[in-house]
Amino acid sequence: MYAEIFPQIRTTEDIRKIKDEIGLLLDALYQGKGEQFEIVMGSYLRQWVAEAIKKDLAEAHIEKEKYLKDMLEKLQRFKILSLTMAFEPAEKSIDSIFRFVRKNIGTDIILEFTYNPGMLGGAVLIYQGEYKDFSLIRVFESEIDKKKEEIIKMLIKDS
Amino acid sequence: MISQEPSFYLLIFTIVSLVLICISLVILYLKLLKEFGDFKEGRKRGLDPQSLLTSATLRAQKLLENANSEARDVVKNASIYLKSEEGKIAKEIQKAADTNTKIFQEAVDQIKNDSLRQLSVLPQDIKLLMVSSVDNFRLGLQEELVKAQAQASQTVMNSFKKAQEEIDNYKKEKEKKIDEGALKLIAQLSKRVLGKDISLEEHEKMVVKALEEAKKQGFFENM
Repeated sequence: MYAEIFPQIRTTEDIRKIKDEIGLLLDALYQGKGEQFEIVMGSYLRQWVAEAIKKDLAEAHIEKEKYLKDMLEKLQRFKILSLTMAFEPAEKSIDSIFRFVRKNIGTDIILEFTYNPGMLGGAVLIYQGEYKDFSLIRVFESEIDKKKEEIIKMLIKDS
Repeated sequence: MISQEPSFYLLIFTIVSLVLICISLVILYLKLLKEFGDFKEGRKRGLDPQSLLTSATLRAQKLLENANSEARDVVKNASIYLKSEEGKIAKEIQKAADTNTKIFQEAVDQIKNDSLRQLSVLPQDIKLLMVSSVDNFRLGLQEELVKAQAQASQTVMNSFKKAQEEIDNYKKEKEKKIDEGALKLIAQLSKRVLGKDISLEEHEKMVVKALEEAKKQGFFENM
């Protein structure tokens, strides 16, 4: 179950979208006798989400409400890895980074991207309350600090 | 009757008087008898009143003479003694007076000599004292002058050192600020250049590299 949905959820933005969609479906369940559910499924959900839900419901023979609520609960269990980067990643970059994380770190992790050009490059990571700075600016400033005497001497020599 | 009382009393008075006279007469008579008895006894011994009287007189005279003579002797002796001792006493008194005078004189002489000696020595002492005091004062003053000089020069040196230090510190501060300013400028320029020169692929690679490093450091474990 959820095999075709969860692998597509990569970021916190994705979780937000899917939660909204599940919310719509749950609301539709309480209105009318299943007709509203179908209408919402066809009109308000992303196509791949609707198809994945239909497939799961057909295969699992599970009540719709239970299915949706279980999905919501499982979505809550995803861990968020916050990445601050010096560039705004395109879809390809997001995918590339996400596949690396799913393969090498964990399958229950989703990403949250923040943009900070002052970092120059690299990333700052925040995960489960812990912080790690792998930014290029940190390395740059550290090197400048170590070599400032040399730099000053060079400046004086050149002047 | 009344006129008979005074005569009665007169009669009694007369009687009493007569009785008293009689008693007195009797007593005198008895006395006379006793004296007579004594006289008679004396006469028996054959003593002559006249001779008795004479001998008594002679005796008395003798006694008187003896007494007189003794008195004269005593007086004479006393005067002799006095005369003889008078010289001695005078001598002794003189001797004592001489001795005391001598002692007194010696004491006075000694005091005089001591005083004179002290008086003669005093100026010298005072002179020495004054000289030594002046010397001490001069030496003390000299020392103070030297100290004051040293202090003054130390103060000047300290002020100079302090001023020099402040100048050096100011120079260092300025140099530091200049260096920091230059460094900041270089850093900013470098950042601008780097930021523009890094491609999206390179950015992506750096992110993946960061994730790999984090995993190596155990950043994702036991969470």
